[in-house]
Amino acid sequence: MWKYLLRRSLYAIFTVWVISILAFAVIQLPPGDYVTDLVNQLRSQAGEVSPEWEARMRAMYGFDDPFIVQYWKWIRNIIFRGEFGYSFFYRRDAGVMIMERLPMSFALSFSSLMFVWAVALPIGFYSAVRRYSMVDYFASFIGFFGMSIPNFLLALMVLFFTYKYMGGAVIGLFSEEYANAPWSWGKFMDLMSNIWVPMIIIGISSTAGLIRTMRANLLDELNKPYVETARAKGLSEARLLIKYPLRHALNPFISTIGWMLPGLVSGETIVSMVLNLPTSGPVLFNALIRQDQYVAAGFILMLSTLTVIGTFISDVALAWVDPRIRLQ
Amino acid sequence: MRKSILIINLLLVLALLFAACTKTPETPAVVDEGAPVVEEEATTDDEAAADDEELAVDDVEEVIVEEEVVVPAKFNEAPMLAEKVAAGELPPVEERLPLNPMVVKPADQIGTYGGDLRYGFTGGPTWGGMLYIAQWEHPVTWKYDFSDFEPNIIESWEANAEGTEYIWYLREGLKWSNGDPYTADDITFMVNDFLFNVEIFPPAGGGADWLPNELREGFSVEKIDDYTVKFIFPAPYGTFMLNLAPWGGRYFAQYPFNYLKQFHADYNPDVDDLVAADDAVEDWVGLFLSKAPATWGDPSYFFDYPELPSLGPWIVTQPVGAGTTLIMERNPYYWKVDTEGNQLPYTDRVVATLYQSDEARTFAMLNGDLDFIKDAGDANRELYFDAVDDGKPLKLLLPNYDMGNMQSIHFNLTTKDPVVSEIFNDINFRIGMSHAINREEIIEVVYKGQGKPAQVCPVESSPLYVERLCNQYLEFDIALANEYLDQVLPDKDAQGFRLRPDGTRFQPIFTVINDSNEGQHWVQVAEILIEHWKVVGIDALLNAVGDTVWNEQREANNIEIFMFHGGEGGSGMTAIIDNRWHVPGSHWGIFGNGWTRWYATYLGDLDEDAVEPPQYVEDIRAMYREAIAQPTREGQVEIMREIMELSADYLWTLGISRAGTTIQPISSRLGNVPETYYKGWLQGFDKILRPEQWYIIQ
Repeated sequence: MWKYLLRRSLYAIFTVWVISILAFAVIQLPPGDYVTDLVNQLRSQAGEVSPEWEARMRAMYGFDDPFIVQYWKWIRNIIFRGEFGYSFFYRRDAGVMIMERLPMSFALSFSSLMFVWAVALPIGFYSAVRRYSMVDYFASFIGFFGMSIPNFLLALMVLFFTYKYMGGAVIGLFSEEYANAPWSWGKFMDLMSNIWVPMIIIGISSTAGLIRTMRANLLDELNKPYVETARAKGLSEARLLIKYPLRHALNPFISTIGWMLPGLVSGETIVSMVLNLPTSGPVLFNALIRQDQYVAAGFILMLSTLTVIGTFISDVALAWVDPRIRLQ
Repeated sequence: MRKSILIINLLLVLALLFAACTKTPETPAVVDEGAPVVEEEATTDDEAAADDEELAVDDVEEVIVEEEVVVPAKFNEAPMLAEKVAAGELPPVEERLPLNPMVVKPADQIGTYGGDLRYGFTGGPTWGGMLYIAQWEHPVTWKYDFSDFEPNIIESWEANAEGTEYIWYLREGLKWSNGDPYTADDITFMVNDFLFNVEIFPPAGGGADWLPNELREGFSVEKIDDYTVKFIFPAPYGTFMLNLAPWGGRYFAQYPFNYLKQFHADYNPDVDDLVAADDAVEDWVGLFLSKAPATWGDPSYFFDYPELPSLGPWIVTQPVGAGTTLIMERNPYYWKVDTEGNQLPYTDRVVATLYQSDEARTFAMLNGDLDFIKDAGDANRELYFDAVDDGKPLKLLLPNYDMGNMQSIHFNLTTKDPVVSEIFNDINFRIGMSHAINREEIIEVVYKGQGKPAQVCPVESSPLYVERLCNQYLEFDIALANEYLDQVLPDKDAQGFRLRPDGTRFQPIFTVINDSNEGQHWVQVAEILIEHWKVVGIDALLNAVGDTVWNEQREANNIEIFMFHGGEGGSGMTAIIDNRWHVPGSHWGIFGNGWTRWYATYLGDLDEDAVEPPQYVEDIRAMYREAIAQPTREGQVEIMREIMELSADYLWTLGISRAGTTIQPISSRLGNVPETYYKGWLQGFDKILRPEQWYIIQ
């Protein structure tokens, strides 16, 4: 087990390193840089700029250096000083912005994941055991319905219906009084009372998929001989189901933690834009549009790292739950 | 019902303008009530003078500036400031105000102090609307009705007869938001130590939009005394003051000398210590540019840095940063009072909320959670009308757009492909394309029935209105369109599409920006146009791109057909400020993009994508220089009208429709907001409504 853990952590560190290079390179792929953006603004607002001025700005921001030098400066500051660079657009420290937004994204994604599990598990279980029942059909219908509606559309519909029929659109994660207040118990409760709307909207599309996976896995198991045997031995139906086939069927839940996280985070971006949530998605989106490279690269690095950590945890958990994986 | 609103609005505007046009002879009498602030020397008023509302300047050497209101004898201040004065944190109001503060006549009535102005914005705070609320304080400003401009930061000005020298008289005692005086030094510092500094703008100093490139060489500004400044231009510049009412005027309110000199090597010998203390910069220029609204006079600095002194009515106390709220508090040194001597602004704070999407902002506004938003969106018209009917605490204003047209369609006459360029340069091609457009359909489908077919041109009430320019080649007539196009591209392929002279199908690329806030409907219009043009055998290919990509294509002059908004230049004299659709080679005149790049080379670097302009373009540009040099309004109008006639001859761009009214929702608790007004970029959007005198109805 220890060997397995060690191997996994080495893989994880290597992956994060490769991601950091990719993240930094991808940001630089689009033609132009922040100075190009600045020059365009200048041209559209005031007039011309000389090439000398443009060159001086490039040198000032360090865009002249070769890729590897820029990358080294960036990653060195992150590793040794914990600094993520500077946001050109917001004119402030990129690291502070990332740290302000990331926990909110994480909280939202995590609560969505919990919601997905809390809903998909029992429904999938029930649908498998009572196959082709009314409840199965109904759950499948709702699940597919949720899956086929893009979540931004769902968010818009929720906005409209709450505006029209509940006297005010549900916008944001905090009420007005708490939006800028420092953290307190009241602010936390306020967050809890507002988070369920985006949580359901983001989670609902993943729910359908997981219901189907759960149902299919369990159905596979239900027809296996060991189930027959257990039943023949006179085990009660509930105890039987929970003790054997359900444990098998749970595997996909655990192994998908890793890749469900990025899915939730990207789903979060567009829903956050519609519902006006102070999460990382919209800031990342703007940074990409405006070539605000340190903010964008920092976010991508942090989100990727979280995903890698998520995968690592799920691998470990899976190995713990299922001895067969450990031995491979 | 909407049509009737439109008609009523048009009538109102016409009535206003008519009133403005006819008032000239009586004007001095109006000024006489009370003691006028500025000494007057009767403006001459030959009846032939000023075909419109403008300052009548003939042979008189001085431009007389009238103030219609009297400076009150006693000043009052907001309770929150009175408390600070009592606590000894602030000097009394008399000492904070200039000797002669600007007196703002409230739009409706004297307001009451207090409350928060709740604003909603998307994108960044500056362009999301704060610029037009809390900045945009220029040397001169528009009157409410856009009939003219009047002194704002400065007390008055005079010009010599040729229009080469201007003397400004500043308001003595006017102060920046940190209490530093605003003097001649602030102006000379901005010009000599910032714009013309060769270290900040290598190699020869920068340019500014209020200073035409041709006038840069030989321009100077002199301090006569603390409150008197003289501008000397090498050639006449008759529209100097007019150019300072819109965006160009910002430079004069953005560079507080007393604060910025510590970051400037010429004034602080120890500046290197400050540079060393700042991780992010490597030399004093970097430091200076990080503290002053850098490069092109970028006003967003005022919303990011609370320590930067400002002349605006509110100053930032909490920047938005990575959060979602920007908070501004009243500027204790704001230099405007109402007619009873109450220091403005009326509202204590501006609380601006960042929305990630327009939908969320729209719902908040519909619900009455906000007092004001910029660009509510014509697509949301029905939602707002319904919300008002549902009794939400909202009011809808119907301002008029100041636009030359809803769109401008450009055939780049300087495009790189010589075959395409030759086709575009044949005016019969452009005429044919114009006749092929079913403008009524676009108005009905996209503009929701608001507007009427027109080419890009000033509105009827403008002194620059030329009937032919507006109404030529408008009728939707397929046969006629084909007749014109047959003269240029007679051959067709089996599917009926026209062929280039080399036998391949003529497929010009139609570039449209698809992520512009102001142009959410542009792609829709372009798609309809492509269908219209297919009927007459032109197979244009849609190239819908984001702003960044389009900028690159423009830089490389890689544009064939292009569509943009119709620009300013609708009402009054705005077409002389925004000349881009009528004077080839101007900024954003995409129909002559290669020429624009050619004229952009005053610094000596010839762009490889530049195209040498033909003589007729040179001639028109010379005429334009002549027009802005004219010291009198009539002189300017006369030459500009000739340019408009030429614009009609050359048919530079095609238009679709006159801009109709737009909607501006405000919460019903907001007082002193004029019901109808001209809305546009040159007016500073909401600034023409003077947000400092809005108040919260208790």
